[in-house]
Amino acid sequence: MATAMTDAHRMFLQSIMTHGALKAREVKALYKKCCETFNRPVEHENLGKFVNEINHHVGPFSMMIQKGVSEEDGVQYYALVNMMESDITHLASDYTETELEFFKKVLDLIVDSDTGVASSTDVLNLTDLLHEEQNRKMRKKEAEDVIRRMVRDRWLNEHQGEISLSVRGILELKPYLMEHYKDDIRQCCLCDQIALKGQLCQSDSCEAKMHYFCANRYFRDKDQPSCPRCKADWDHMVIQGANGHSQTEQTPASQ
Amino acid sequence: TTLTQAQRAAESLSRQEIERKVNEVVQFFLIMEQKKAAVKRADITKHILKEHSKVFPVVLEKAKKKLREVFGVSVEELEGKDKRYILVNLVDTPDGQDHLNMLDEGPKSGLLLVVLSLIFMKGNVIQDTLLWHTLKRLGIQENQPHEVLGDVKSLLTKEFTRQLYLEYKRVPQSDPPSFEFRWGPRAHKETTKRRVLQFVSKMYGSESLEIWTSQYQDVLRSEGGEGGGQ
Ligand SMILES: [Mg+2]
Ligand SMILES: [Mg+2]
Ligand SMILES: [Zn+2]
Ligand SMILES: [Zn+2]
Repeated sequence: MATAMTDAHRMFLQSIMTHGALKAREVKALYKKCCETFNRPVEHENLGKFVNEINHHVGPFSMMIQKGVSEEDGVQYYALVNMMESDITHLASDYTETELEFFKKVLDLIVDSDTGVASSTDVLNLTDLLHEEQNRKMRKKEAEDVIRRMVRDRWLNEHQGEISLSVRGILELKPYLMEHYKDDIRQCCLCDQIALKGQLCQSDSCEAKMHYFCANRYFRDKDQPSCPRCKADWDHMVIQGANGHSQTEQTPASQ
Repeated sequence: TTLTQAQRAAESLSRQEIERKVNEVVQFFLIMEQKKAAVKRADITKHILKEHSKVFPVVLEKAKKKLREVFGVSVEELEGKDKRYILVNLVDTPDGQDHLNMLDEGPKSGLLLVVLSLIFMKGNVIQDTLLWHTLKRLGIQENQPHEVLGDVKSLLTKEFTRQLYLEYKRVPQSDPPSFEFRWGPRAHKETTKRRVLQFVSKMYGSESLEIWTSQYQDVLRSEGGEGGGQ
């Protein structure tokens, strides 16, 4: 017999729906708040069980609270994911058709770059492409506004003029990404998740890619960084800041 | 009655088919709520029920029950001749914080609450020139992007209007045209005049609502009976 939803579950679910995605730390605080509000004992080891109880009830509506790891910093997030639509159309409630076509072009740019980031200048210039290819008009100022809203809704990340897909975006758009970019999307050879942002194996014949933070963890205690797949030397980039693209420092592979 | 007709119509669909329609209606409500748009009965028929439009009452009742039990929201019908619905949060948290609607936190909600307050204090309608004049004193300009809020004019006249928090209409026969703001139907469902007057009183450092004589009368009238919303 499944556990019934209580107001604590509903408050938790509503909050995740409102925010789109929350950091694991925020989710723990939310869980505590929901329990306290409705006089339930706070048992942090039971957060997973609590989430499963909710998932049991939202499953019939093709929804699921899923955990994902941010490509930015390896931090865990929770997001409410719509499992039904393998298309980008479930953003359709918030964005116009032209804005969605623009977003698809932004995704092209992000996926095409090996690093998983696109510069805002290149992103804004997509408005010209949108006009040439589809005869859709979008001013640069409007494009800026769409990007701002997509960052606010946690679909995209923006950091120092570089735009990437957020953890929510990756979780929700996974089926779309896998279908539309079959040959371009790579999985991290360490954690097996989609890796947009990451390092590539330098051997031409090897397709291995890994997240910056996965690489940090993996190479931390290894004297001779080498590709886990083809064993070629790996030029490991140590990440200093939270973001895997701007503040990198190269440590040459040991001889 | 309609319900028994609907029940008979429902029997022509299998239990599983009904269940699937109910789940789709629930999803549709949730998607539209994220967009803060009202759900039209006609859209439910067009997109989900299709040729089975007669099962609408049965499907709506079941969808309401699921929305209440799982998501903690009620389906509220808006006034007007077309059947339109929005979702309103039912989870009652002591600090009054509402996790579904936007009348709770964030700069946009803050602005919305201020605008709803100004409308209410002005007798439920405010000329747009007066509203902009007042907002200017809070550092918000009609034709200048705000640092945090962005394009405030489009926020008030388009976004909040589309989300049914505000009504923005031309004053009939005005020449040159002038415009005025009122509360939209969602504002009436998600908050109350009492809560707004409490907010205003708090801003003025007062606990008593009675000092705002005419507004307080309005609060009492709005609580006097059903449909006393305007
Ligand atoms: Mg959305
Ligand atoms: Mg909220
Ligand atoms: Zn990885
Ligand atoms: Zn390799």
